[in-house]
Amino acid sequence: MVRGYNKLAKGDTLVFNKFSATEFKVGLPLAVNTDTTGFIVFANGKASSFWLKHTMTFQLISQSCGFAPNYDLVASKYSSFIDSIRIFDPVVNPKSAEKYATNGQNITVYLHLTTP
Amino acid sequence: MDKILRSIFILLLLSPAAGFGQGKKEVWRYEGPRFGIDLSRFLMPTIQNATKSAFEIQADYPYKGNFFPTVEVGYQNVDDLKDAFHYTNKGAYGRIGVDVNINKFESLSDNDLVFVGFRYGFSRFSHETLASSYTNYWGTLQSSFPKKNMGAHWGELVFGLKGELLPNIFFGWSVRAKFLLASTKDPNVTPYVIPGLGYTASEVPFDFSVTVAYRIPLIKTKKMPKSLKSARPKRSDSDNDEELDPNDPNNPYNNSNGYGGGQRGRNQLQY
Repeated sequence: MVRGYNKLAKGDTLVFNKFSATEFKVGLPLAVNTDTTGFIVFANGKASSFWLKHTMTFQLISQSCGFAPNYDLVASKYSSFIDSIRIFDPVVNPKSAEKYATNGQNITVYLHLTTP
Repeated sequence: MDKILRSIFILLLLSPAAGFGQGKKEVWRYEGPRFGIDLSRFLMPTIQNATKSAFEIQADYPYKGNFFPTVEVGYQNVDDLKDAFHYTNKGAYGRIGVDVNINKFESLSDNDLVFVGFRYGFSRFSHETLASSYTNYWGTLQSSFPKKNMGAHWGELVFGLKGELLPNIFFGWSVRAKFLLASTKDPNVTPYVIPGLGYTASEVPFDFSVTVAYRIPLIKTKKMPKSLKSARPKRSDSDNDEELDPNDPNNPYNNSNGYGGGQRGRNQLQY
């Protein structure tokens, strides 16, 4: 399960995955009004957090889509139970969804599923 | 309606082709600068979504019969108010280029054109985002972007028709494929419409124009423009009659086309 940091209200859960897969992909939104976005990951009954620092420009995508943020991931930070975070593609924009559909990814978060 | 009919009547009066008191109607070929307006600019706002107003005037001048150096200038104003943003874009544009007639003139009075051409277009415009918003899981971002002066350059390939409906009054249409060459960069707002170029969503924007034009008949001639299709290699320099072919229906002195009465070519004065 993945939830936004400081987002505790009902309905704020971003991902609720009951499957026992050791690897899965999710789309996570980045904050629009701050330069850091935090997430809490719940796995094997344990919770850990990670933060992504980013810059953002608000861009016109098209006449039909309107404006959308274009992010550049610059750093990551994480707590225990997260082994590491690897940034594959720092550019996050509406095209990232297409990349996600074709097996692309922006970051990979490696979790310790067993107690280190 | 009364004004339109009166205007048409005045234009007919201005036309030298509609002369009075001529016992014998003599056919001349008239040439001169042609000025027109693009009617499609008035139609586009009703076809497209954005609140758009525009006008465009066009002018051309015949050169060696089949070449028409062309100038087009216009102004466009877009005010696009959507749920998520309010965008304005306005500016002037110009195009210069040449149309080449690929149609063969059948007679002195034939001025109908089938043409291909090219244009170089440029625009100076400003755009501004008065409001924009984006909402996701984390909240709503609202922003606006101040007015910024922009520029763009592009090329166009043109194909069209132009026919003389009434003496010196032309009506025609053209289709255009456009190629954006360069434009001013804006990190936040890449303009999705450029005055004179149109919408930039497609890599090769297509456009059409519908033109009504009036030709000022400054030049009166009996000389037929040489057809591009029947262009022949030049003969010797001493032969000054190289543009006249007695078997060519384009030759005004060859009376087989029924026009050009009263004129005889030098090659017909041998009897």
